[in-house]
Amino acid sequence: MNAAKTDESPLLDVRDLKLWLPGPTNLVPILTAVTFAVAHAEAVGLVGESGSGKSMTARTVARLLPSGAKVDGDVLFRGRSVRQFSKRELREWRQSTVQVIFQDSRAHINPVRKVGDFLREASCVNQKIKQEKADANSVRLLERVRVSNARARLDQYPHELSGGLLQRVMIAAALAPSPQLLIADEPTTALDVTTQADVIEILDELRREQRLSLLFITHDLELAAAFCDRTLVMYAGMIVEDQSSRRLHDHPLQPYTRGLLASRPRLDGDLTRLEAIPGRPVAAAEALTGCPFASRCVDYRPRCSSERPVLRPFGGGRVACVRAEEIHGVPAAAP
Amino acid sequence: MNSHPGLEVIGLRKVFATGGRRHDDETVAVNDLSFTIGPGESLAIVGESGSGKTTTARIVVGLETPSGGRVVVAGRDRASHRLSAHERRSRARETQLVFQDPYHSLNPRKRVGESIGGVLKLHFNLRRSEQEARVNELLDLVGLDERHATRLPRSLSGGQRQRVAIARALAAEPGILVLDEAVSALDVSVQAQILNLLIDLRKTIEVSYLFISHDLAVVRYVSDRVIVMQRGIAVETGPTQQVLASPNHPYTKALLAAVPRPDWPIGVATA
Repeated sequence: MNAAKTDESPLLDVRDLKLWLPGPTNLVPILTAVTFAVAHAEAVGLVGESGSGKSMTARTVARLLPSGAKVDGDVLFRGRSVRQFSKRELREWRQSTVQVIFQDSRAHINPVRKVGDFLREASCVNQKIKQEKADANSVRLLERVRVSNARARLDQYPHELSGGLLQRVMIAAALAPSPQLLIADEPTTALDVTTQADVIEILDELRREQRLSLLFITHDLELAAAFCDRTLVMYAGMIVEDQSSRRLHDHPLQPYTRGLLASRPRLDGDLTRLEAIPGRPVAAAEALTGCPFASRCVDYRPRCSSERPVLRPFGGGRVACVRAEEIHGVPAAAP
Repeated sequence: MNSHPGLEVIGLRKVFATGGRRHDDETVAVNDLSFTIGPGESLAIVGESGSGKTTTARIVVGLETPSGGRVVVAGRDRASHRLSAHERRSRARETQLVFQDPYHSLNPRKRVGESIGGVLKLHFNLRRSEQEARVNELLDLVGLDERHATRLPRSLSGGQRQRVAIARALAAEPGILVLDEAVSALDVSVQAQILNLLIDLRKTIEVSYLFISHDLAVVRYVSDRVIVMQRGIAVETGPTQQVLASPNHPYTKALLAAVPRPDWPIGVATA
């Protein structure tokens, strides 16, 4: 986790990131402590409920923040600070090295231009391919994300495509310049479950093929567990847990993660009431001193209200909970 | 109170004109759908977008007129002519709808107490003190308290708003509560609270649910029977536990296989 500047250093290294956005009267804290890394060819899930700061983390990484935002901490990409990039460097970085796909693909594609125009632009601008060759390239891209009748699709408008098909077009365009990092912000949330399964399968296949690093933002712990090597859980603008997805699912460290897993309806097992977490998710701005989850936590003790937990190594992962040892015992050595 | 708040839907069909400005094409949203919901029973309709589940819900509450078939509520056929104010009021006592989005389904200018009180005023002849007491009773029923009566929707969280929407729907004492994706827009931790509320409500008061959802796992907790719909047709129906444990129709199987889980065998959905 301590990134020494060797070849082993992670592709993306986010260090003590803090973010404030302008509110009606003053700056509102959005992220309070975000530290994580994404290794080469690693898929990392960033999971949280609304207001947890997961999307703003992604936007801060890609420098897609609204004006007036105040940032503290650093984002290193291959050891270089993204925050220090010049306009030109940033443009080149976003054109080829890092790509972002969003939940609502229909809002991110020009509705009056054909799919072919959209993909041609992606090929010509980002990949420096000559116009004549671009259409052949677009067909190849669409076939790679398993779009049928690829050539005919080029002459269609976005409204003629279903949500799942359009999201595949977005993935095709994002992967065209062979990026090193793909940031996917709830890319399947608006899709039906069977369509989601298709899109996830394609994403998974392509990221393995291209040895792509992935930052996958979702509200769905199960989806992150199914698809990502490692999962980060966010609450009130901070990362509260970081473990391999499998371990996180079977042995959650933070009481919040445990609560999230228990409150999700299941297809198997006992059919009793759900173990709901009381209260509602809070945003960073509403968090008091101490642990932001304290008021909803089943393992609450008075010290939780005064001591601010920091994310620290624990039992093979990282956890932000001052009572981790008391709850789990002293952990076995990291695997 | 309604004596027999059962619902019977027979051969329901709904056709929408499509094909742009000329309306020369048509889409069959619901095709020959039949089901019954007994008093106090909970029926779920599950399907993906375009399955016709929401159209069915809208027809049941009277927001949409069927192209064919019958909807029989409490032993009476739903009229297809324009309704008088009196008829609309009595229909509102039969079925009430809870929408997906608690941010858009409440009047933003009305305090919670007024929202619920307005429904009471429409249906019951209560004295002011009685009405206030009933509002508090309803708030208590959905896990809120009288302090919330003076709040505006914008000062409530998503979960609290959905509780208010449910209280407001229950104010008319309907026989059937139609819940259209009523927990889908909520955060997971809050969704569990509302699901628990729906489970508990059925033990406290006599009400039937028509629960519309895309989420098979959610349906498992709140329904006795389930109908799986695909492109307007009921492809499988049966007791919820049985359908989920041993599905017969390939579409039900595909839906179940597509639910994410840690050991998700990627590739199963398209296989």
